[in-house]
Amino acid sequence: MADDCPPATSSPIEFKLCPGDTMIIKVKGLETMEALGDIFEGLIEPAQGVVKFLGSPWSELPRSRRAALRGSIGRIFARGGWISNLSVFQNVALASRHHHNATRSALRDEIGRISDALGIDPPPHLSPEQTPEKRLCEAACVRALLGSRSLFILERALAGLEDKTASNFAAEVEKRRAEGAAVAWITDGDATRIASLLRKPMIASLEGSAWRWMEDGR
Amino acid sequence: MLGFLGSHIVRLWLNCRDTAAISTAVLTAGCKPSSWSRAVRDVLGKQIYFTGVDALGLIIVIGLATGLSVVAQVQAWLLQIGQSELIGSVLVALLIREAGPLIVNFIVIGRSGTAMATELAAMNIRNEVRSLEAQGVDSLVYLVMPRAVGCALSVFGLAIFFNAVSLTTGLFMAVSRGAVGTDIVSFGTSVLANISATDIANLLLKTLLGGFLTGIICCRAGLSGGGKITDIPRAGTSGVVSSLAALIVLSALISIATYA
Repeated sequence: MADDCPPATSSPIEFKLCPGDTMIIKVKGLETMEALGDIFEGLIEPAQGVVKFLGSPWSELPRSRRAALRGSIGRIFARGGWISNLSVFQNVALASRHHHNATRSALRDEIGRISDALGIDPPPHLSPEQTPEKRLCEAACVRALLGSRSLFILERALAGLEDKTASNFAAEVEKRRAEGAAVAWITDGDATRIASLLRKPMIASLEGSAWRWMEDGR
Repeated sequence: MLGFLGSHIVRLWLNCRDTAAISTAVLTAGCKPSSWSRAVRDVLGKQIYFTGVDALGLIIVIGLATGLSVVAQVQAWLLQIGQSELIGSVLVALLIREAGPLIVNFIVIGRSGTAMATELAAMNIRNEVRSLEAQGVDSLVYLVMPRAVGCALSVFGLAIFFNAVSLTTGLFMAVSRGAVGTDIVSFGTSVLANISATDIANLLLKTLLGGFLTGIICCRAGLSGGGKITDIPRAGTSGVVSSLAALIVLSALISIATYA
């Protein structure tokens, strides 16, 4: 996740994601998936080494800067990550209202536009508990795509989506890649299915602490 | 015995230190306009609604009851000892300086303090605080700051409302009983003439600071719990007990500082 960009390397776990790069990481278990996502976002310190975002180590950034940078990361959480006292719509809009002071009407328009692009209904004004699982999976895609993103962290992003929605979502992610966003797509499922939806992804797997390159998309 | 006392004193010190650190961080963040995003203002609005507006009915009832009992009794006693001209200063000392802020703070701690502590403890258990942080929404700025500020503003507003209701009720009670020397104008003039700048500072400190501390202590209790479901009621109890203790100490210190 750096803005200066030599080729991806393959020592124990060492890699860089440059603007426009996509890496599919195959892992086992939701905990590993979430932990990896958290490490990429600087929420968890790795036991050894350093994680940098846009050239700066997360650990050296002040709290407010870390929060602002995380606002430019679109994430789909393996276990939803919904705030229970907000409606699904408010959950989707939360980061944009916080980081960009977006108005409700502007957000409604933008969320409507993304939902149309995905071929789904806009996120409902219901609590996450009252919302069917399929609608939550769709809303998670809208939440990840909403706003200006420099990195996507997608955990089990296709789970619960219909094939048409999944390919529309991948196409939207590709559009953002073309605009300079990097993608870390973490899955415990079929990496080749995801790879077939994306252009030249790198593929790696993490089993226990063993990091293995399967394909260097560059 | 010494070890028991020592561990309690150390825990108390650590609690005070943590509360002071969070308060300072919240005040620092609160002074930056950039912290008040639309999302944070949404939470502030909700907090003022639930803590302030929603509590108005209860405050009216308690204000009425206090007015009926306290003001009428004070008037009767002062008439008995022939000091009815002291009504203003006695009521200012009793209601505006002490009872008003304390009663309102108690109500807010009971209603909203418990709610805040348990709500945040539940969010913590469901990993929602982590989800917020992952989206770059600072939990201190989004969860703690608007709750503490909303609590402070609500307590202040409710205290003004409580004092107005209790004094007005007391006046009508006294007039209806035909207490000698009681008329609306002299009663009002007497109360207003006895409110000094120190009383206003005292009221501001006890309500704004008291409400703010309640918010900070209850949010801290909610967010510092573990990941077990039994931590939710524990957070509620801890938040309320600590807030009550802090309020009583704070109230005494402010009274000593302003009137000693």
